[in-house]
Amino acid sequence: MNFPILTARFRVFGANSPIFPFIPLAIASLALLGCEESKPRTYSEVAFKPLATPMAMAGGMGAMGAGSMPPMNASPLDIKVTWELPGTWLVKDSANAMRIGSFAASDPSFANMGEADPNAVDVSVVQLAGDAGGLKANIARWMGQVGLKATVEEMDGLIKTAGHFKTKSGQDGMYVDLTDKLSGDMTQSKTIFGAVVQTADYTVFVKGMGDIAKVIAQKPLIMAFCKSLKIEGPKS
Amino acid sequence: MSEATSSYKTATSDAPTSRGLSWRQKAARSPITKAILHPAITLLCLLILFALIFFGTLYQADHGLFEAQKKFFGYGVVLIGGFFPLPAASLVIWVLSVQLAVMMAFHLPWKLNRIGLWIVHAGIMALLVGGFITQVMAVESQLTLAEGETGHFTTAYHEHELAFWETRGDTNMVFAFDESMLKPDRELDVTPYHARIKVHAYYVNSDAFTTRATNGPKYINPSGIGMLEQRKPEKEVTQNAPGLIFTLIENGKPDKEILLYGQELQTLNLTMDGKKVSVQLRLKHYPLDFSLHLTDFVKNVHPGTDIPSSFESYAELGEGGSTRPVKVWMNNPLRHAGYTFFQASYAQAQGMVEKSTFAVVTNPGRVMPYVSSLIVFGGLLLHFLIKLVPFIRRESAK
Repeated sequence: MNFPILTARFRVFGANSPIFPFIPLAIASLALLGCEESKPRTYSEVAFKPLATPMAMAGGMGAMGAGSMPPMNASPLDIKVTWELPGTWLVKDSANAMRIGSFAASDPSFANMGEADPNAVDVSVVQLAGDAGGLKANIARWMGQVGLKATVEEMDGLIKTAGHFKTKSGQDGMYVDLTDKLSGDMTQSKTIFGAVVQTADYTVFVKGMGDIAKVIAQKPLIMAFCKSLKIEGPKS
Repeated sequence: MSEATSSYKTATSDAPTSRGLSWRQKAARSPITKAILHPAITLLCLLILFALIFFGTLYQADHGLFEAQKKFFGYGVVLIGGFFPLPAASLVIWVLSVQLAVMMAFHLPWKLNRIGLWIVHAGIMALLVGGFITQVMAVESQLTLAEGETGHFTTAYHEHELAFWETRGDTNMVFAFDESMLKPDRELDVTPYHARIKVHAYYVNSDAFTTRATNGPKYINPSGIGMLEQRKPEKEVTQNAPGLIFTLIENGKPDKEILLYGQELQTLNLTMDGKKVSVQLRLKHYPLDFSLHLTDFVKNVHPGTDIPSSFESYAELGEGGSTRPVKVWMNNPLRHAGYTFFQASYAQAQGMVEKSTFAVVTNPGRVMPYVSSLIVFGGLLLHFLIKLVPFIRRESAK
């Protein structure tokens, strides 16, 4: 294979140098390749106003199962909810207007090793206006999400025996503990431990959902998290 | 290209200069030109491109689309199998482009009966230019709307920005730094608010913790995050959660130590230069000059199954005070003002408002493949006809 360039005697300089036609091309190439460096952007955009009605996003896209979010009327809330997170929980993404907090409650052993717990309990904080469709309806939906069903009597009993707490800002809250409820279906692997803080103007849900053993292990931390809630607003 | 290459000794026919050779003839006889136009280079480039596409496709399966694009089709060097180096596709295409440009500049004969070849080469050049325009200028983003929602901007899939904005009426006036600018120890001017930031750390992927390192600084963060830990980037870059730590310098003095996490929902609210400013590390926004209002999303399924047969989004496109109904469905995108909206995804659940996601593409080079294909086709046809006429004459004379 003959490569003339290996044996060529270059006439790089001089008026008739063949290199000249390449100069503009080389400059243009370098200029275009040098476009990597960005500059600050200045732009205006119409602010996005998410719907006040229930959303249907609680994770990935595509068809979803029923009951991912409470199906009730909701309206924009003028409240601010803050909390203190347990040190082992990770902040997660939650592309949802009502899901104001989303966390991976990891096994402390994973957190200590600085690794992500693949079976971390999914803890979410959701705020909605009014009674959010009713306490029983929401508990029934949570039960449905882990394959549980309850008669009217069982539901009344669950609410009657539920533990109560006060948030840091003084609102009354109620724990919803489904960890000791089994569906009788031996394939049931998930359960929920959560809480509901309800006033005449709004309802705040905290839901920890995951493998039964993991949720039970996280119960103390979820309870501490619920107690740390600080709900501020003109109507709180 | 090959025909002209093989016939370069008799190629040019420009008017000779006083020395008897035109500048094209001189350039064509230069050893540099001969080296650049060597057919072995063309062949090698095509083989490399073939290998890159093959191994890039395999790589994509394990490392994701964006990572494969960056590694195999950028400007770097790829180690095939971890040891065999190959130039990435953009470099190879630049070599082919230079070859083509040199071919057209110095070598292709300026003869009327070669006009077909000129058109073919011009078509190939148009294809390469179109590819470059796409690489540099095309923007891919997405827009997710629930039924009843109106979108005025799209968001990037994975590129982030540090955005400062103040709200005037229903409009946000945004000043944003691209993530590529957020390099450690770099100071950046936040000119609208007469402030500066000094970047301490930017992690492409990170975990956020509410605890903070022992004796570490106490950062301002809207979600109570106190510490970031760098993580290895995810296989799918869309799953990366970036983190940023910087100092806000106002009036020439370091004022606030701020930590922002790319997956926070809350924005940091500050008063800067006497104005209420929101700050967030977020996916890049691309404002639209028009609005898209989703009125209805329809998913049809095959009878008796849950298998979708079609997805359709019914929307209203608003621009300049007027609206018109539009429909976007599979393989039937909405094209408007240089944007193309493809029906990309959806979300629905029983009793819930449905959501539709559009993949939004702006690509000034979009038509170039079609144009260049037509040009090449026309050139080949013309060249064929030019060759056909003498052939028929010769055959008739026999």
